[in-house]
Amino acid sequence: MRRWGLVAAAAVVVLSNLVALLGVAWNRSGEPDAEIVLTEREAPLAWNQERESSAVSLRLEWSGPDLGPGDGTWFDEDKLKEIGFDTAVPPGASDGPAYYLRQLPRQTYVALEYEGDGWKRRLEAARRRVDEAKEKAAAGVEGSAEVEGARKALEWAEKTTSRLVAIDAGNDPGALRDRHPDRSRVAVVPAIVQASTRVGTPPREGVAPPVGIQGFIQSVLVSSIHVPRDLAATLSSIGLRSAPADPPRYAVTLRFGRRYEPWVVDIRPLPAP
Amino acid sequence: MRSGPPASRESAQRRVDRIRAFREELAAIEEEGTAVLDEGLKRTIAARHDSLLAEFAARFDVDTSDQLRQLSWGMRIASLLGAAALSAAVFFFFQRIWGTIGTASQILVLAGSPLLALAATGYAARRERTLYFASLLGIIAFACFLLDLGLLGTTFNITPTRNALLVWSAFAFALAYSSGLRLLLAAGIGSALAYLAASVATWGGCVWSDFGDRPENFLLPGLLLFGVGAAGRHGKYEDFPVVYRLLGLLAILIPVFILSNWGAASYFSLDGKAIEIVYQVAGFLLSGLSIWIGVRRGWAEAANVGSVFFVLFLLAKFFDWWWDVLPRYLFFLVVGLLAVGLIVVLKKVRGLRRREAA
Repeated sequence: MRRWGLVAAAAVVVLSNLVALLGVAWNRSGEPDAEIVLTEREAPLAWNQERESSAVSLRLEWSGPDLGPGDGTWFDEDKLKEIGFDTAVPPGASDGPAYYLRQLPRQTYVALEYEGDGWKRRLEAARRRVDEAKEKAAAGVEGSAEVEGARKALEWAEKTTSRLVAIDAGNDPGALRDRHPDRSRVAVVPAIVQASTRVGTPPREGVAPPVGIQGFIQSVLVSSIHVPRDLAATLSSIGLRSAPADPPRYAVTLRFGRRYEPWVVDIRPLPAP
Repeated sequence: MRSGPPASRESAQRRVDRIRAFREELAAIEEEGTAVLDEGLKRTIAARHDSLLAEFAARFDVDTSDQLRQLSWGMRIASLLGAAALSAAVFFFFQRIWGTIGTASQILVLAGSPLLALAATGYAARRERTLYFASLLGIIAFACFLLDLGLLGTTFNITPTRNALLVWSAFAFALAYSSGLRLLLAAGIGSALAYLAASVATWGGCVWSDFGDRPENFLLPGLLLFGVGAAGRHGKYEDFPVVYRLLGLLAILIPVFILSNWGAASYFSLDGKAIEIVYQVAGFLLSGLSIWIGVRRGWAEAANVGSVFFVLFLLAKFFDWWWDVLPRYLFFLVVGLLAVGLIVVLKKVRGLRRREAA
């Protein structure tokens, strides 16, 4: 075995570790792009807390735009075009769905807002569904099971689901930050997005539903966030490795750096009600 | 046939095999009474061969008998399995301790483990000529480096990048070209192939990690690899070009096979059926070309891979045409006859080659 090979391989190890760590230092230096306090609802323990692993990480829970075309979604045809998707084929064309299905996802940046208007709209929609179910039950169109289902969904949305909602996307993270300057509520993160056709809600009975192109967020690139050893001890003290609780048991402070990569800076237990 | 001093264990082993074959053949000819070599000449040749065998055994630890060769194979398999098991042990050990050590220790452990494994590889290589332990440790070093960058990424929440594939490839190449280990070369080529395919994908505007979704991403890198293997010798490692050619051909023919059956995966936004037909024709041409090049240049791997894919393309076509139409016994009869036809064609090619050689 030649010595130069071992030296070259060792140099590759040292250099690549150095570059990666310098990147981490650069990300965490200076003023963070965002610092947001979330709860267990938005950052529960990651799924992979296995018996063989002592590492602890949190999973970033968020929800994307779920409104269909004609319902005022922000992730529409113009936004997809801006990101780089080809929207030449009308979505209602016979080959429209296949055309959009075969377009590969693209990497871009997404703005996630904590407890903002997007979240409030979701709650209102859930409340509306309860009212509608009640009205239909009163008119004898639906039964009490539908009312109960809508009520449970509302309760779930109010108390358990994440309040982190995607509100915008774009290829320029700086421009995205300019549009959403609240650094304590909005995080800009790299994400993978996809285009598809979607059938919206018909404006009234007897009218064909609108068919449009809509974007959806496939994944946020860094969705599992490592918890350093000293902060993991706080999680241990409040029941590590158990399912998310209602109400949330801890608050976690996340910082997003110059490269829009997050890290945990604090975890504190929340008082029991 | 080269007869200069061997530069590697492989070429020394080939010379030893030729000596053993010569001795066996000479004994057989003498036993038949066809010819008997002059005693003096026989002694001169035997002395030369004995001295070569002794020299190669001392320098390269070659296998000078069938028993030794079988034992060597056993050791190779054991070192491969050992490397896999020890790499898994390292992975699970890291998992086990990861949450119990601080950040500074994590960095030290991550960067230190491949360096330690490299130092152990160098030490083992100095102590033994056969490199069984060195190859085992080299593979562990590569696994440690995979783990190093992977865990560094998850520990510091780094956005995944295709550059990791490039540095893994550089690491594996450095070790392979200094040790002659084909497994590490294959790891280097595999990482380089993934990096190049991911780069082609990003030029097309896709997410790098989705490079597998468009099989065409592999065609150019595959051609490049085959070109490297076809270009010539790789220093003292005579068996390295085979690995390049084999992996290069697979990187071309597997994507073509996928596209010939699933046109929707193509970059071309044409009718899926039309794309499949284009790739079916390309598949037959490319696998035929591979067989032809393999036969012409004496590259067994090219001829074999070409034959396998030619049959696969034919089978896929037959399946499309006749699976729903023909009774099963007739379908398999056609497939069997196809195999017979292929044997006839290859036999004719073999006959032609034999006449050319004569």
